[in-house]
Amino acid sequence: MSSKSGFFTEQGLDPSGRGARDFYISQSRIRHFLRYGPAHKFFESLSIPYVLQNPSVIFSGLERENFQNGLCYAGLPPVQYLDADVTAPPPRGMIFAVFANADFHIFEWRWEKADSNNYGYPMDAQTRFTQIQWSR
Amino acid sequence: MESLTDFVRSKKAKKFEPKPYYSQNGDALIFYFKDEPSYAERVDDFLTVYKATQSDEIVGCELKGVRHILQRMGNFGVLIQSSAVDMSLLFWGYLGYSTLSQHESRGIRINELGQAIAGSRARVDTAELVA
Repeated sequence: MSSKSGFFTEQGLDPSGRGARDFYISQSRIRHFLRYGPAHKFFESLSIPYVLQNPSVIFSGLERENFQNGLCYAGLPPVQYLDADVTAPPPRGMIFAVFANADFHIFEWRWEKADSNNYGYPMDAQTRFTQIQWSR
Repeated sequence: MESLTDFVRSKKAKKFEPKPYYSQNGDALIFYFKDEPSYAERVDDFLTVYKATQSDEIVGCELKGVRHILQRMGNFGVLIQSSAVDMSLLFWGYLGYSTLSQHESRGIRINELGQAIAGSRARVDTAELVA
């Protein structure tokens, strides 16, 4: 696993679905949510490694300027983190989404409503992403 | 090399203080003005709202494409020369890209969101936006 100054490194499934690759998470971002909260956002980052390694689906191409090569990993972690050592079942009808830019820098993670017709997919995926890069 | 998991697990949450965070990697401002577990709902290319899991009340937002918004505001003669800018000004810049029908179709009460942002008096360091 490589290291990059100012970033945490986490391994995840390569967008091709074959092998692993490194992802980077800004330490200043994590420290911001530690310092100012909300606490749930800080502790929800504990679900990032699980979803990177066990996605239900990987989308490429975010419908945003300059993020045509961005990635979204969506999955269903076994728990929802409320604190470092307090967990609850995942919120009903939700998936956890992790967003990265083309350089594999993670810039957002969050719960989203799931598509009731596609298990493990976020809602409105067909209008939000250019293509499915890989799916389980 | 400390992992994300080791770091987060070793910390205790501190008192909530509404403060926006600008992500250069995502060119987005993340702002929570209430401390409640939430989920995200995308409104359009520039705005995602965070809603409380229990009540669906809006508790924050993600303003995307901030550099683009600032550039467009500059095209209309809006120049930011101070070291910090009100989050509400950036939100106002976003409104130039959106339509009321977009918000209404998703049940987003955009005026309430605007008032919550303005009421928070949150400011963003301009140095972060242009770095």
